[in-house]
Amino acid sequence: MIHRRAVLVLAMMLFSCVSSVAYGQDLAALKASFNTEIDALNRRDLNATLAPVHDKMVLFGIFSPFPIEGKEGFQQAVQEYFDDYERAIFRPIDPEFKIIGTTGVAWGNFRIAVKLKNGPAKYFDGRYLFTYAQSDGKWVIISMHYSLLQPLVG
Amino acid sequence: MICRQVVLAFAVITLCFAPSVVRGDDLADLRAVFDKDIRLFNAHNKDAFVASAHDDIILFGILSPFAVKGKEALRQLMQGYFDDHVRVMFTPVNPEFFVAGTSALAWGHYTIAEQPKVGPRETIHGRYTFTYTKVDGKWLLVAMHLSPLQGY
Repeated sequence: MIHRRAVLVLAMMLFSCVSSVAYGQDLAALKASFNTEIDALNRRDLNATLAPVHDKMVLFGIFSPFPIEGKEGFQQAVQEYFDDYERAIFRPIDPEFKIIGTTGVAWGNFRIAVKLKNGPAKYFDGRYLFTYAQSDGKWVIISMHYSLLQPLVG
Repeated sequence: MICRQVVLAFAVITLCFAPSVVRGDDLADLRAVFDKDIRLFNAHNKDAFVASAHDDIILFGILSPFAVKGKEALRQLMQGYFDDHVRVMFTPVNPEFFVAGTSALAWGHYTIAEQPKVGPRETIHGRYTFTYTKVDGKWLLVAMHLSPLQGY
């Protein structure tokens, strides 16, 4: 009887360890995917920016009130972003990550520093929330939602 | 021989149609969960609304610039919001849904009509993304992002 309980406890501990290791690996992969995406965007590498994006992704951005749907729409939006700005840097602030089931979420605040061609530098501060789905062991972006924080007036 | 070919053809047809049927069911379930969430919100039923959310839910909302994390924090936020208002009505505009495996999205525009206990009525227009994940056969709300349409 005692032997059976010991085996049961050991099995539960083993399962718990394996689960937490697997979660840790998934979380590391999610963070790496997010960092790679931001790096690609800041390097103005269109192909690398598009690589982890789902064919039917949805984007709510800060330059348009309307949603951008699908990889092709996202490609056009990113290309316009690269064309409009001589330089643009997206910097996540206090990035956080969570995995629930096969869904990953990356969220936090951001600052975008942009410089228009022949124009001054501008800064936008806001919040972002990316949603990922796990597909064939890889994290794929299914949604990006950005919202601006309004500057204090007065 | 013919019988075997018929069985094989039937199996292939079944396999071809099965994923889309499952996806259709998932989509219908997702819509139902979203509609229920909105009904509960508009009924000021914070406890039932929060019950269908995941414990670690994340919200970027319109009441605070900061992220609200977890069921209890969400419940407190909703309690304060409903306490300050006689009536709050969230109306989705052109709601859309998308299922990717066991992850899903509900997104679109919204109108919130607020009638505060003190002060004039207000109408807010914006955009929403709700993220769901399927756990034990149920769609759970894991994240929400609401962004008002200001400055466009």
